[in-house]
Amino acid sequence: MLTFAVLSTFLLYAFAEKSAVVNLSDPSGEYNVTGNIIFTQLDNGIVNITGTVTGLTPGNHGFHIHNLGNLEDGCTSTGAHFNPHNLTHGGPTDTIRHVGDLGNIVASNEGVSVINVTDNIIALEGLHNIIGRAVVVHALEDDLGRGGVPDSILTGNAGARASCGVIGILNDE
Amino acid sequence: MSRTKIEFAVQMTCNSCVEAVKKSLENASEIKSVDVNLDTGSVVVDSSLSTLDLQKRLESTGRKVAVRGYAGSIAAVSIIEAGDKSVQATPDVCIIDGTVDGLKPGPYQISVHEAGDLSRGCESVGDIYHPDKTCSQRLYGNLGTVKAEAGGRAAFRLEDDTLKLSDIIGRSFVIAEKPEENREGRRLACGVIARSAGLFQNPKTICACDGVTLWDEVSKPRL
Repeated sequence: MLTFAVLSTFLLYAFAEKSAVVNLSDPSGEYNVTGNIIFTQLDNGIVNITGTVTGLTPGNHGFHIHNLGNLEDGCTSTGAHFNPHNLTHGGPTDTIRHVGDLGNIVASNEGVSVINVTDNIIALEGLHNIIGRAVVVHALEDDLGRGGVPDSILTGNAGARASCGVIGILNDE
Repeated sequence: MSRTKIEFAVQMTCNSCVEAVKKSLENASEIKSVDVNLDTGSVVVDSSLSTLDLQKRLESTGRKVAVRGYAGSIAAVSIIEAGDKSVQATPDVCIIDGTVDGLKPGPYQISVHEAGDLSRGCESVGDIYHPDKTCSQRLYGNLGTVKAEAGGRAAFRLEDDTLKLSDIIGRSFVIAEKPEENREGRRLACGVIARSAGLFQNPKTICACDGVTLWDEVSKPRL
């Protein structure tokens, strides 16, 4: 069984084509949330998301792709959630969601979040391409559109932008 | 020189402000047209001047000024030190318009590198970008030399007919010391080339997330 697990992990990466990386920081200096996340697009179109974010408060934090990668005015200038189909905000498993809605990441009591999830909506090419846009980690939990306040269906009411970074090309072979 | 349209947000409250803004952009042969909208606080300038030149002119009126967007099918921005911007103006020419502060006076090499990976700073961005299929005579990502003046600022506006913006988004922009005898110069600063807003795509003046206004952000000292 262990052999099988190791082999399948190997296959995931052996057939991976494109990958992207984001280096997260907090330009405002108020939250000191940092991290590194890698996106790998597999042959079947699914994107593997792995990485670590530190400096968080324990619990859930909204985790989104924002439309622009512009950090001229810190995380503020990254625009709204990446939403090419002009839908309302939702959770990662909802059919009605922004392309950039990746839900929450969970931080331990030490403030560390280890990320290892997949998503079949975001992509590293084409209409859903996230390269050159920004990852934003929020100060609060994303209510996945179910919070019942006006901001729920717009942003998930996830509060301030605690950390962000531009998604860059890691490997485009 | 190719012209580009740049949209600025300018803090204007009355018609006399509009006149002052228009006056600040008069008497320059490089400026083709100026379109001021008092209601939206938007000033669109069609010119071959650099963003920095235009911003200085607008700021000479004593008003707060911020860049809102660039014309073109796509626009990109890379923030390193005090910031660099590039914009694709026409399908054939890429305009690279930027300012870098904190340099010693002298010449520097600017280039696009293959990866947008800043996990180990400028060391992890790979080599100067040169795709296999390119038919360019030079290293594709080699943008040439810029000069820092006595105050430590390099301000530049280059036109490049090799580079296509769609090929370089997600890669990185690097400013380095001049190369010596085929050895790459030391990399001084870098940033990932990111998607930026086009004209009129960035109407917000207040961030919904924390209520910080555009003008609060403009007033913050730049690190």
